[in-house]
Amino acid sequence: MNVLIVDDSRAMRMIVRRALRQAGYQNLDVQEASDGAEALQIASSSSPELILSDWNMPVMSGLQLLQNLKDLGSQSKFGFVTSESTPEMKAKAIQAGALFLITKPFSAESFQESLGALFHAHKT
Amino acid sequence: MPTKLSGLPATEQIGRTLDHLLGRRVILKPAKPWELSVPQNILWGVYTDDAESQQVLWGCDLALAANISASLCIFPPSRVQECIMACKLDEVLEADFREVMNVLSQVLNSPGRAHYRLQEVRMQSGKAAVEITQGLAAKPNRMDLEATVTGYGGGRMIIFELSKTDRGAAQVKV
Repeated sequence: MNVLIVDDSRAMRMIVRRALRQAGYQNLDVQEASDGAEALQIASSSSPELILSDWNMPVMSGLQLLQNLKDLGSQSKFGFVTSESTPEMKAKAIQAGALFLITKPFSAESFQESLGALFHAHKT
Repeated sequence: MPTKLSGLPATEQIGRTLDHLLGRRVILKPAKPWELSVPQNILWGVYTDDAESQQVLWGCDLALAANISASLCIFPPSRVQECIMACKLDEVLEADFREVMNVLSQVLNSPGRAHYRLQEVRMQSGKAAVEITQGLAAKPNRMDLEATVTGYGGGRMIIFELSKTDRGAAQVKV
């Protein structure tokens, strides 16, 4: 599976990669972007199957990224990995087309809970 | 009418969040009040509420900030010593520390109370800014803790919350 991790923190991108590995998702083709604009560029050229994005980022937020992807007709599955998760944010995220919202700090288990069905569907 | 402050987080809540984020145990213990009038190196996370009427200041001494940041990406503990010798975090560890402080903002927030966001992380080299000492003179609710990151080392932290009345009209400049 082709996965794009979007976060302005290099450390957090590394930790997301690690959590994916610990959750048992091996052999992923992982790309990284440090803001929404860079992610949009990558997503336009390589159409990742899954995008895991932070919410607050410079240049273009995660929500703006999701809205732009939808406007472009992107079929990528999209989930947020963010330090804040209020009910309002969750509602906005789902309304914009996100599948889930994982709150930092996260565990491998929280990735399994949110991504299990997605990876299972990808295998079958 | 006095501003209603949100209250400080429980030590266990801070510990749990750090444990999860760093992937290792962080031991927190109550400590004697940290004497901030002495010149020293401190990294301050400055959190501001949505109405910009309240602030939380979360300070970590350089040793603790370096240990936390190094453990986030499993850098060797020798990197911590390099930072202590240099009296500052290097660029990578500073960015990592900012991310840790950003994630810690969630322990300051609970439904129905002031909602804080990390505004900035600042380095204090030497004496504390007057605004800090003035703010503390107003005897705000404060937490003084000793922290140890297992496999690395430790240091001190302080958290306190200031209303606009406590800190005057100006934003705290560290």
